[in-house]
Parts: sequence; C-alpha cells; structure tokens
Amino acid sequence: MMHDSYAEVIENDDDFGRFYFVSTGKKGEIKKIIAFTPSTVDELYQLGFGDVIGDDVDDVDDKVVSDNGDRDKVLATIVVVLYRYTERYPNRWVLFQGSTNSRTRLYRMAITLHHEELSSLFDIYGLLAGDEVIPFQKGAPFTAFLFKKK
Amino acid sequence: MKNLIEEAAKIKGIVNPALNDIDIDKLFVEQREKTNKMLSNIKMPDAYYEQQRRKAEGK
Repeated sequence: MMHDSYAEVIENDDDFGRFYFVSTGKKGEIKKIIAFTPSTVDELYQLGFGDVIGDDVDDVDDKVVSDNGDRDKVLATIVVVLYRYTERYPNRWVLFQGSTNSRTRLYRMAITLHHEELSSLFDIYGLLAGDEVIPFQKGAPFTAFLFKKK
Repeated sequence: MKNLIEEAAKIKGIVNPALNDIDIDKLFVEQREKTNKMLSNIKMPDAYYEQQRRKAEGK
C-alpha cells in the first residue's frame, strides 16, 4: 500500500514536464520540483527531483538532504506524479537515479517495498553497471531505474 | 493509506503557466550529464526496441 502523497501538485501546461509541490514537516515548508527531461535515447526521459533553494523556482538543489520528516510522503508524491506523467505519455520510458549512491539505495528500497503495487501499473527495470537493463529484481545492484506504463 | 491510482486521482493538478518559464536546460544539469554519459552504451529491454520498430513503421 502506498503512503499518502501531497495532493496539491502544481503542474505546467505546455509539455506537462514540470511539477511543483510543497513538503511540510518538522523543518517547515520546503518547495520541491520534479522535472521530466529528454535524454539522448529516443523516448527515454529522465526524472529529476530536488529542493528549490532560492527565490527562483528553477534554483534547485538535487543533493540536499531535507530531513523534513516526510520522506515517505515525498516519495509517494514522486510516484504519483510519475503515474500522471506516464498516463499522459504512455510511450515514454522514464529513468531515474539518485543524485547520490545513498539516494539510489533509498529508491531501490522503496521500489522493493512497494514492488507488488508498482508492478501492477508499470513495467519496472533496473540498470546494471554494465549498461544492461533487466527487469527489476530485489537486491540487485542497480544504478538507475526505468519505468514504463503497462 | 491508499493505492496509487486513488492517490493520483486525489491530486488537484493545479496548472500554473509560470512553470512553463522554467528553463529545463538549467535544471539538474550535473545529474542529466551523468545520466546521458551512462546511457551511451545502454542496452534497453526488448520491449523498447519493439516499440521503436512499431514507431518506425508508423503503427
């Protein structure tokens, strides 16, 4: 079962590739950006995620550890946004990896924990160090993850 | 605790055209460069190449 997600997600209306929400927790309100950007591989888009750290909404840090006490809710929001995005663009493959190794491990743990539900909606793959993409397996040393709407 | 589809339906999806002004090229630059480098030799799943084949055939 998914955790609750933030309901008030603001999105753009030209390419539906930029999303904004506010994390609310023990450190207050932290603005978050999710963006889908094209990669060098056709139909493969990268999911980027980070905190807005300045006055401008595009002043983003994807390495900062927010520690706002709402990690699961933030991760659930990312997944829900991913779902909305792939509803709009069902032929697109979405790749994401942590900006740090520990964050990649966190994503791997989250996917493992919710694999049953996620895999009912997405084909999920992992990227191995040898550049091979294989179906997601629990415990495999993936460096990135790919999602494709079923 | 809700399932993902219920959570997606809950999102209000407020459109703010100001987000259109975000220059995507300026976002996550380091991460995107790192990923693109990693993708240079990527071997995608068979389903991807099948999709690309159908796309090329206009299906």
